[in-house]
Amino acid sequence: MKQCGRVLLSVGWWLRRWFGLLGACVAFFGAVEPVHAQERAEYAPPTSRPSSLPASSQKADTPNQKADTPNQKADTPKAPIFQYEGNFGKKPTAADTPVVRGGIYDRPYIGRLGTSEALGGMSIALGGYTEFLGRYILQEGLTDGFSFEARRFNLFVFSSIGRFVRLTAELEFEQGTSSIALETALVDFRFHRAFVLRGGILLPPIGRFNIAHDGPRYDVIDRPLVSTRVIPSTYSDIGFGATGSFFPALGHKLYYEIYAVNGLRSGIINDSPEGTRIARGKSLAIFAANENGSPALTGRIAYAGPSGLEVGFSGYVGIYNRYRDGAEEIDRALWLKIFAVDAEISLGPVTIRTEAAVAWIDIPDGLVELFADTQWGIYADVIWEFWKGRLGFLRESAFRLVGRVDYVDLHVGRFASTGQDIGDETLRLTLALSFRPYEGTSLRVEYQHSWLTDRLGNVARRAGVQFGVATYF
Amino acid sequence: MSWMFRLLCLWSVWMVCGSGCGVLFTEEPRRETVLDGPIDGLSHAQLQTFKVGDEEFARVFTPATGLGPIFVEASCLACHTADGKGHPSTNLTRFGVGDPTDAARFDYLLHLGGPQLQHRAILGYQAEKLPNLEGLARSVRSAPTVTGLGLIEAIPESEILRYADPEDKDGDGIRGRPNYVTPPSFFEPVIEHTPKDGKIMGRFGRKAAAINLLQQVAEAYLNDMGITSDFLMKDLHNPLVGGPSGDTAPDPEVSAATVRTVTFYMQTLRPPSRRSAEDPVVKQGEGFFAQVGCAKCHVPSMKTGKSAIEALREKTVSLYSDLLLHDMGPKLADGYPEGQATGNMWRTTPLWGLGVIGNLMGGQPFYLHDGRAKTLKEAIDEHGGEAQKSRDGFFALSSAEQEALLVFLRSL
Repeated sequence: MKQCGRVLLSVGWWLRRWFGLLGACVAFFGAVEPVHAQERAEYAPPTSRPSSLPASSQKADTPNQKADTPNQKADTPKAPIFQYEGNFGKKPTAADTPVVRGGIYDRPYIGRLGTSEALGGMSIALGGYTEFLGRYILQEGLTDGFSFEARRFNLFVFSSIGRFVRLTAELEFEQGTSSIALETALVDFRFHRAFVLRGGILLPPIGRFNIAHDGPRYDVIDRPLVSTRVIPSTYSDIGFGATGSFFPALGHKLYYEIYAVNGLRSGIINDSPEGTRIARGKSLAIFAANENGSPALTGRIAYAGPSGLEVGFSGYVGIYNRYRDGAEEIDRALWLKIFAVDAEISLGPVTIRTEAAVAWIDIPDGLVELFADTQWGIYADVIWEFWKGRLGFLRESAFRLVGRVDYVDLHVGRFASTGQDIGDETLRLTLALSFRPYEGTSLRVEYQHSWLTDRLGNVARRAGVQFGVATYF
Repeated sequence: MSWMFRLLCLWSVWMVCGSGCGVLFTEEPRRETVLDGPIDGLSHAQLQTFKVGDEEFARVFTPATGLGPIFVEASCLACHTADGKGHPSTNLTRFGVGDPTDAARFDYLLHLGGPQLQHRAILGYQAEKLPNLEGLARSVRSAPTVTGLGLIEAIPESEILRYADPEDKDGDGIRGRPNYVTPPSFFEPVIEHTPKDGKIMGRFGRKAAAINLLQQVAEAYLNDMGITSDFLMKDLHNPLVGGPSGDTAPDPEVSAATVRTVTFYMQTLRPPSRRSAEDPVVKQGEGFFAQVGCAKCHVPSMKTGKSAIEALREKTVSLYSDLLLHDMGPKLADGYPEGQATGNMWRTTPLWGLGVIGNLMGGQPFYLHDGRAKTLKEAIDEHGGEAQKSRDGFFALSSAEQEALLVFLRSL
């Protein structure tokens, strides 16, 4: 017993010491961080708290809130709510959680955060987005005709549980109800905006598209090839980690995300009839257990500056096969590594957005050449907002013309037998016209033309027209 | 900005009107430049079966659907790209040791993974490697074109035997021999066969070791993809790992119905279409082809007999092959006997589709049984044995005459 007590004391001493250090760091960041009006504006929720909310909710006088957030009363009338001061004494909100432009905390519904009597006085926001489309695509002159698709209907929930705790979740319905998935369900513990502990079902930050992929954000219907083939967007995983942001100087921001997750699985090869397909490593089983007991690491560091400039570097490292069973090593560990770069900049009415990624995959000896050990891809969007203004009763409508170039090489390498380049490449050009009656709603029509090169280098052309609607709600 | 927008609109309209839909919305390749598609004259029900067979032919297997545990490729289509000839990267290898002139005295090394090397394995399993044995014979083979096979299957044995001359009675140096092989336990005749010592004449495969398409398909499922069927239930395994199987998919991994449907698909794939057959240069080249003696083995046409499929019945088949075995000389010899085919012998490869296969290999064709020749001239140059005289005859032609002959070959 005495020994146990001594051990506990010792552990307690270390914990105190480390928490002390953590506290000092937090105090330092709190003291040095400047308050920038620009950041406030940049990361402000798009709409203020709707006036249509019941008066009781705006007073924040429910017992729940009183207990949880002592200064809720003082903060509530402010709209929008910002807490960039980094002051621990104040109530954190969605807006002061480190956000990625277009990410889970940069959605219109967050601005409608309020308390609802119907929901027992919980501080909660509900929202979502939907997108559907029609298409007529031909490949080598052959077509299956015209088709409609209910591509996605996603529901968002955001809840402020208490002073430091936030929950956000996203439920996704694809093609009607043919695929229903909990895409996000994470809890944030906000110690400071430079240090937020995050856990749950989250979006590993490989490139920017995986963490900011909502349909209404984009003016092109299909997702970029590099972001769905090399980076397996949308990729959700269960894990823990940290995120945060720093402001080294006025108008400049650095942010980071780093997580340990269960990681992609052997479906990369095992369920991949066409060759290495990283997206096949996703599995519902990811959320239940790690197949090999070795967590994957993923992270992104990004810089945001003036002119809407944002540059990010991100990566993923993990073992994708079941190489051990208990303590028994039953196979060689096969690693998957992905490195991505993303950037965005606005120059007047023109915005340029790009993402590139390269993946290295360990391939077992018996599958070399059949499966790719290296893949890479890139896309670039040039978005020209050529008209913006009042259109009848639409006060803030806009027209945009978008050109996109997509390229992926899903098998970098040469045939040992002939020395020829292994194909498995796709080049796609897209030209889209988008009308936005509101910021979060896009009606678009696009023409796309792809050149699909098979493994042997045979090229097939695919082209067609798509039109669709995507809107936040 | 408005003038830029107008300019862009004008450009778009010009693109649509000026370049036509074919450029903007792609166009179907001309029938004579590809190999796929059904034979003319199929009924709606037959076309439906053809379509299902086409999908099965393209189906890529995974460990969950039975692939492996050891295999060569994961789908039929991987080797027979667009129903064409296999690329050298998909070549398979057969091996063994012993007397290359007599299959009875040849060891197919079953205990070491023979007769066929499955050099790939599913994740977590061990692929086979060639044994390190002195005198090991290796037969490396590309997958053949699969179009028009139903017509070949429907050719009566008597029609093929018309060209056989094992004793070289006519003294031209060409000795076409049929390959009589032991039929598998699941053998089902589709034409009338005349067995010889319990063996039946083969006509499919590089050495004519397969009697009909059902046998060819069932054996390819097992030996090339590690897929068991109702016809061949025992899965492959690497003997060095131990048996019996390393995949967990229940056997049979495909049903008899699937094998039969794929067989029907192959039976009803149309034969390749000619291009520029009436071109004077092509006609001239065809003359040289006969003149130097190529047509003695690459017989321009045969006739089908009875068939359950009406579209295959009583048809002229321009296959440019006699479907018989010939000694092709030391350059092409693989030292690997099969049935009555010795290590020097190969079945005459049908030449139809010769001008198209490059289109299905990214523009670079690979000729001969293992894809070693990149040009037709290289392929002709490799011919020896019974074909030596024809080979010499070709190289004795003037450049223009040679070119005319090559133009003819490319028109097939």
